[in-house]
Amino acid sequence: MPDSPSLRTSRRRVLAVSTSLGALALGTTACDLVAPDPEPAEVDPSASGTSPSAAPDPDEDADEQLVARVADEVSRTLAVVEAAGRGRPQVRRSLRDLGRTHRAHLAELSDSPTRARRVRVGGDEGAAVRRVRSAEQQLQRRLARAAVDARSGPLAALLASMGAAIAQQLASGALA
Amino acid sequence: MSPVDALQRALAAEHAATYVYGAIGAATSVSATPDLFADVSAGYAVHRARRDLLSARLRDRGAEPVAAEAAYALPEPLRSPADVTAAALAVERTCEETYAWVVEQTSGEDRQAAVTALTDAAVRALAFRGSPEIFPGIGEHTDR
Repeated sequence: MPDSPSLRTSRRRVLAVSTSLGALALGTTACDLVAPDPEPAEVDPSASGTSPSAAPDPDEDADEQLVARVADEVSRTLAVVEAAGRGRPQVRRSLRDLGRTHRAHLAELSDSPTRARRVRVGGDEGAAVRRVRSAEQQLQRRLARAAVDARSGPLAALLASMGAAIAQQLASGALA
Repeated sequence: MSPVDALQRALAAEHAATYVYGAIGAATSVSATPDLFADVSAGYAVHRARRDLLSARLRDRGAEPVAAEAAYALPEPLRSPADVTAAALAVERTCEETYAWVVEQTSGEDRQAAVTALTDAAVRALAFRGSPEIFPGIGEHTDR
């Protein structure tokens, strides 16, 4: 897969931001659940930037492809959410948070706007919600799988978190 | 940080979660708040099972599982259903953060298990009046 500057930049940001995760998880907590012993998480060298002429890193290339694939899947699912709400004001209202979640996830994965997709969701409101639920369940499974497949730890954590967010949406509101 | 170290940290968190759930279970009335009692009981059972699973996994690798502390700081006060709900939510939010971190530090089956645990904590938090999050366990992404 050819290098995608936008994805590469985005993933760098993801990696850089995520290096504080260890301290966050093990620092002070409301219940003092975990003895504080913060240790900086392992930093992916790509987080601090590499020369554009550096030799391709197979792990990084694999993650670039993974990010592109996940962004595409999130984008497709968002298109289903938007289509389900089209002409169905109540459904649109009930799925507003879900759409916001997908957009935030896409923004984290890619700096460039995603390709607009046109999807048609037919049937009554119940059918539209069922279609969304099915798409979200599929996305949630794929995110969990992608988290395991990621070569970079911080990227894995991001994808796992995105999957957990979708699981929450499936367990609450209109989709429960 | 080795995968075994990461599992030890997860086990330490589960020791604490089990302890806190035990305490808040004792502060919950099955007759006055049956739904809350059921949710707390379910949380206790899940964290205890995960604690035991982590201990077994560490032993399988020849590591001595980290022991529980004699006691843990409990949230105070712990008298009303609202106190119990807030304490359980805090446990699950902390577990989200812990398992997101374990996902980052591990691979393969260990990571798979951490992904499952993160998802479980995120969904379980909803039972304790938690709101859906954009990035469960890695809150620093939410300010985007």
